[in-house]
Amino acid sequence: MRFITVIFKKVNHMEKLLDLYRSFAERGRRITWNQAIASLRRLIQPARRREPLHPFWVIVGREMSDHIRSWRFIILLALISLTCFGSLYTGLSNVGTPKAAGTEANKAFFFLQLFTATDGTLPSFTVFLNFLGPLLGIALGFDAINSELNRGTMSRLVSQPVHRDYVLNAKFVGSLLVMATLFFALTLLMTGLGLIFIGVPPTASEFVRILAFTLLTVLYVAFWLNIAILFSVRFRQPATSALCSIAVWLFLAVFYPILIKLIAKALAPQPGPMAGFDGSAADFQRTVINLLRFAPGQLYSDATTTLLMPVVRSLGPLTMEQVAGAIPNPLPLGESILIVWPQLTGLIAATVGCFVLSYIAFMRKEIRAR
Amino acid sequence: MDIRIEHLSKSYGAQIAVEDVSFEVRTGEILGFLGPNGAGKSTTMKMITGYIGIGGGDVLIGGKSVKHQGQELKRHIGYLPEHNPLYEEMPVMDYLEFCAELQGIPRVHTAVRLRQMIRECSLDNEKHKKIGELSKGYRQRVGLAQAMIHDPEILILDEPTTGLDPNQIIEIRKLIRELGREKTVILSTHILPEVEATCDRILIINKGKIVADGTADSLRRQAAGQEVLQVKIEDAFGSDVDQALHLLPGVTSCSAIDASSGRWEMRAVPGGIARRELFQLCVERRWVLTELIPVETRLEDIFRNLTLN
Repeated sequence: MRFITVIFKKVNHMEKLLDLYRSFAERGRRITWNQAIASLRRLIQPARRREPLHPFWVIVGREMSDHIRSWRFIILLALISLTCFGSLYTGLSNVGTPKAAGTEANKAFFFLQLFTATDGTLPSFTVFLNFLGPLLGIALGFDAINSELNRGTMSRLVSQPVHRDYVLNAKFVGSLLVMATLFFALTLLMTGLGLIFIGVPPTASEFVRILAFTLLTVLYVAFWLNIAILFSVRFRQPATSALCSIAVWLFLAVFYPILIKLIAKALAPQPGPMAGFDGSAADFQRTVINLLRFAPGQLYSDATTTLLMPVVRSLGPLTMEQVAGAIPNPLPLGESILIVWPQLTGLIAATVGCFVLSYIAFMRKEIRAR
Repeated sequence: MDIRIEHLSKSYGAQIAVEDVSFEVRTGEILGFLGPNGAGKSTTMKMITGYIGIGGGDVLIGGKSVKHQGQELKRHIGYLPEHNPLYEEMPVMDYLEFCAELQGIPRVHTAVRLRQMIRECSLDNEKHKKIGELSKGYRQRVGLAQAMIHDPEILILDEPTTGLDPNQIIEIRKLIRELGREKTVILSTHILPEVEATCDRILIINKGKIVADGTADSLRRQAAGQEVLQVKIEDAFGSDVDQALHLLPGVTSCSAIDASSGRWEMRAVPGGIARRELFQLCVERRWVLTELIPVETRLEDIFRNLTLN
C-alpha cells in the first residue's frame, strides 16, 4: 500500500484517487476490478456530464438540430453554396486582371479580389450575400414562435422548469450559431480553395479582413433573423409572418432605393454656372446617400466594400480639394473599420432594436394551451 | 407530496371556466377527475401544473404555492395534457432526451431513465422512429413517458388512455395503479369503468364547480336512495306474482321485465327488508325463486344525474 500511496503522491492531480484508495484500505476491503473501474470512470468522467445541462443550452441544441435537419435550411445551404462556388469561379477567372485589380494599391491585396472581383456575368460573393443573406435569416426565423404556438408545443415547453425568455433567446442564439457556422465554413472554404488555385497565401491583414467581413455578414443576417422572429411573435400564422418579412426585405432591398432615387431626381439642384463649387451638389448627394443608408442592405454594402477594398478611403462624395495630393495607398484595417463604424453600429442597433421589440412582445403574449 | 386546491377560479373573458374549487389529494392517492366536456377539468389541471396562470385562489403543492414557487414546483410534476402536443419531426429517443435535459436530469443518468421509460411504456420497437410517424396510441405512450421521465412525485394525466387499444389500456391502468402507491396521481377520463378500476377517489366537476367527491361506493350510497332488485320466480302465474309483489312490505314499485319467463324488477326501501319478505312469500306460495340480483347504481347513472340536473 505504501508503494501505491507514494506513486499517487508523486503524480499531480491524483489526490482524489489516493483518497479513494485509502478509504477502501482503511475499511479493510479489497478493491475489486469492477469497483476500481467504476471509481476511475467517476474520476475521468467530466464534471459537465454529472451536472445537468442548462435548459437554455438544451433549447439551443434542439433549435440547431431542428434547423440542420430541415429541408428549407438544406435548400438554402445548397443555394448559398452554389452561389459561393459560382462567385469563386468568377473571382478566380478575373483575379489579377486590370479591371479587377484597379489601382496598384489594390494589387497589394490580391487575395481579397476573390470576394469582390467579377466580370459582370455573375455578381461577386458579397453581392450574392447581400441578396441571399436576408432570405436565410427570414427562413430561419419566420416560424420560430408561431409554429410552436400553433402546434401547442410552446405551452408544453413553458410548463417545464424553464424561464419563458429562455425560449426566445435560445431560438435566436440557436439560429445565429447555425448561420455563423455556415458563413464561417463557406468563407474559410472559399479561402482554402482560393489558396489552392491561386497559389498565393493571404497575408495576415487580408485574413483578418476576411474574418471581419464574415462577422459583418453574420450581423447583417442576424438583423433579418430578428425581423422574422418579431413577425413570428406578432402573427399567428407562419405564412403571414413569412410574407411580412419578405415584404419588408423587398421594400428595403428593391423599392426603397428606387423611391429615394426618384425623389432625389425630382429635388436635385439645377446645374448652374457655379455647380460643383458652392458644395450644394455634394451636400445633396450626401443627404441622398444618408437616406439610402436607412436600408440595412446599403449599410452592409458600404461596410463590405470598405473592408474588402482597402483602397476605399471614404463612403461619401469627395471634392477635388479633398483628393488633391492624396496618395492612393491602402488603408490599414483599423482605419477601414473606423470608416465603417457608423454602418456597423447602425446594423447592431437595428438588430438589438428588433430583438428588444420581439422580447417585449413575447413576454407580454398570453400563451394559451390548446 | 400532497396537493391542496384552495378556492381556485379561472375565467376566459366573460366565460367562467372554474369557480371556487377546493379539494385535496394526498400522497399515494389516485384521484379520478370526472366531468362533461367544458366542465373545467382540463383548466383545473393546467392551473395545477402551471400550464396556464391561476385566475383566483391558489394551489399548494407540498405546502408551496404554485403562484409564488411555480418554477421550482414544475420539477415535481409530470403532466400529460389532453391533446398531447409533441415535436413530430423529432425521433422518440431524441424527444425524451430533450425533455429529460429540460427537467435537469444529469446526463449520466439520462440514458438509464430513457431505457426505463422505453421499457415501461413499451416503446422499444418505435424508439428510433419520428414522432410524426407514430400511431395515436404510441404518441400517447410517448406523452406518458415524457410525463414520467424525471420521476415526478405528482402525476397529472388528462385522458391518458385515449387512442390506446384494450391491451394497452390494461397495461397503462396497471402502470398508473403501481405509480399511485407512492405518487400523487390526478387522472381525468371519460371512461367511467376506468375510474372505478384505477382510482381511490372520484371528484365530479360540472360547470366549473365540484358536484361530488368521494369513493365509488360512497357516491353510490349517496345516489341510491332505494334498493333495486331483479328477481326470477318460476312455477307461478304472472298476475299473482305482480299482485303479491306490490303488497310486500317495503316495496315501493314493481314492474315486469319479462312476465312470460317470470322476470321482475322491484324497488324497495334500503335495508334488505324486501328481500326477506320476498323469500318468505315464495316459501308460503311454494313458488321457486331462481334469481335475486341486487342492481347496483351505475357510475354512469350517477354521473348523468349529477351533470344533467
